[in-house]
Amino acid sequence: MDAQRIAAEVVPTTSAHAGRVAKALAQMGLRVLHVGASISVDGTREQWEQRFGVWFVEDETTVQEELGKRVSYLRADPASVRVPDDLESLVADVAFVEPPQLH
Amino acid sequence: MLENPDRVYFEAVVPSETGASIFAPDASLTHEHLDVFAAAGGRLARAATALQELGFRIEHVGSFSISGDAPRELWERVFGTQVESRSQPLSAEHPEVGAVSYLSHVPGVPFTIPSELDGLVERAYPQLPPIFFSSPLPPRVGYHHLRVPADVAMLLRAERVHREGVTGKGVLVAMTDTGFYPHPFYDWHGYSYQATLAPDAVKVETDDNGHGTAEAANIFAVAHDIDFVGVKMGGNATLAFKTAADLHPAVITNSWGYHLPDVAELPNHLKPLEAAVAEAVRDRGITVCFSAGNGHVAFPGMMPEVISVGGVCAHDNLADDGFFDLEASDYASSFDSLVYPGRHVPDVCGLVGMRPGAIYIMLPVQPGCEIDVGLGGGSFPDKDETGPEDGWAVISGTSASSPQIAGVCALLKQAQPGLSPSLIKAILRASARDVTKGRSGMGQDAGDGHDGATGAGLVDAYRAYLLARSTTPRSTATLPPPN
Repeated sequence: MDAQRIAAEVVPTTSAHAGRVAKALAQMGLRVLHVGASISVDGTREQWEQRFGVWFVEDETTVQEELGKRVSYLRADPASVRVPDDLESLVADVAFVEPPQLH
Repeated sequence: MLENPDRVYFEAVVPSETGASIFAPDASLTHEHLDVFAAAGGRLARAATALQELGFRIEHVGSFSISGDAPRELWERVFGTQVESRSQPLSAEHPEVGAVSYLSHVPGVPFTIPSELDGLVERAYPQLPPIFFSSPLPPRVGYHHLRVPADVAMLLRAERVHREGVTGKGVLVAMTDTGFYPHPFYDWHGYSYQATLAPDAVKVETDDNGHGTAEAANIFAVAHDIDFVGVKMGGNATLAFKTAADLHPAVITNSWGYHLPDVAELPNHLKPLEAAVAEAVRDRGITVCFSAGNGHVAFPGMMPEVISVGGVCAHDNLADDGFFDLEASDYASSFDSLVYPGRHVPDVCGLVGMRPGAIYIMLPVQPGCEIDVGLGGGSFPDKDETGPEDGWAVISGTSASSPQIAGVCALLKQAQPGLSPSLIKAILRASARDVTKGRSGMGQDAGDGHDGATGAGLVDAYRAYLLARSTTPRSTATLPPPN
């Protein structure tokens, strides 16, 4: 993935709303990558900040301990997420993705 | 590989005793005619001496030519010529691996044999670097380690299942990881090894880290006839998992996770991943394996729906029971989940090395990738004693054990396609080999019977197969009586 893009899983309130939510996210300029139980999207920091009011902090985590490999990423402050009014009744959660650890 | 890009590495051909030249248009260098082109012994020695006196370094004197090298300036002055610096990829198929620089003759520039070499050197050519192919055969290292496929298959007792004709044929296994480089190991073994991209990933044929390419070999060691698809992960691991699940494989194996120490409530940002895993198991009937972690309190490895795979080390000596000496790996995780009360990790174990680095299983990687460079070039146990760009690394961790057990699941699915994920887990646990010695990375002890460190123990593919082949999944619904 482009390191500048921030990924999230958007959870609709019911699966019946998934298509509608995905369309609205795409219209906001977010890239919709997969629609299922949750909707996989990514976008730039600016897009997330403008559309969802979310704050990000720069963070770092170890992803491969045997190599001492660490990666930097933008960690979202979940308390800052504000779902836009027109989606509020359709979206249950917006979960920002963090880098996994390789075992 | 050329060692110094400022030197000319050359072959100087010495005239033959018969006057025949290997450069003649009608020259036929078949083994019947080879002697015709051989240089006289005395002339070879005189040529080598003359080159040496001019300042060239002689490395080898053969039957037809002399190998040597020289600084650029010497080469250009002696032969009244010019060379130029060029660069070429180490691998034509995979230019991303890197490039090598070398000095090459400038086309059209004169090249003259000096009087000192007249009659002793017919022609001399700078040599181009070869293109490197990573070998399908692993290097030899001087400490106890396992090789794929043979050692892993033997220790997990998969070979005996293979002899029953059960090899994973017709079973699709997916894996989500860093990438799946087309290492010749896979092609030479004739494995069905495919790769695809999660929608946010790029470059399907590269694996700059090496993790996925390596760990996939563990599956084939156990189930060599599976159809395999590796899903290369981008920035969103959940998306990679969902991409794999959408292919409806029989088995998905995952050698990664999130460390959640002292966490009793699953963080919201992981709930979509939890939902995707639960959906894959419950609604799609996919058997999902996750590594238990290497000292991590790993999620989704702790989910009740998955087969959580820990680690056991098989030493190179035999125990009293006639099997290899088994010990719980002190590199692998074991814990009781706070998020899912009553859930102990691991369920069962595969093969994992010991601390400090679990350097244990020789596996193929993309030449020059992060793992190859990171572990290569030093001494065991800190490094793996392979080359830093040779396309092989000795690693393990529960990243290795999860795909091993996924391979066993594939064998069971071939034997009994109707087995549910929960029944497969029950069979693996019921048939595992008890491990009574050692302590996990979290300090839990192994002991008689099911224990904290290893769960039910080391998976035994043959015992599992014997249970699976006679199991009859039955409907719990009441059927109407026959007319």
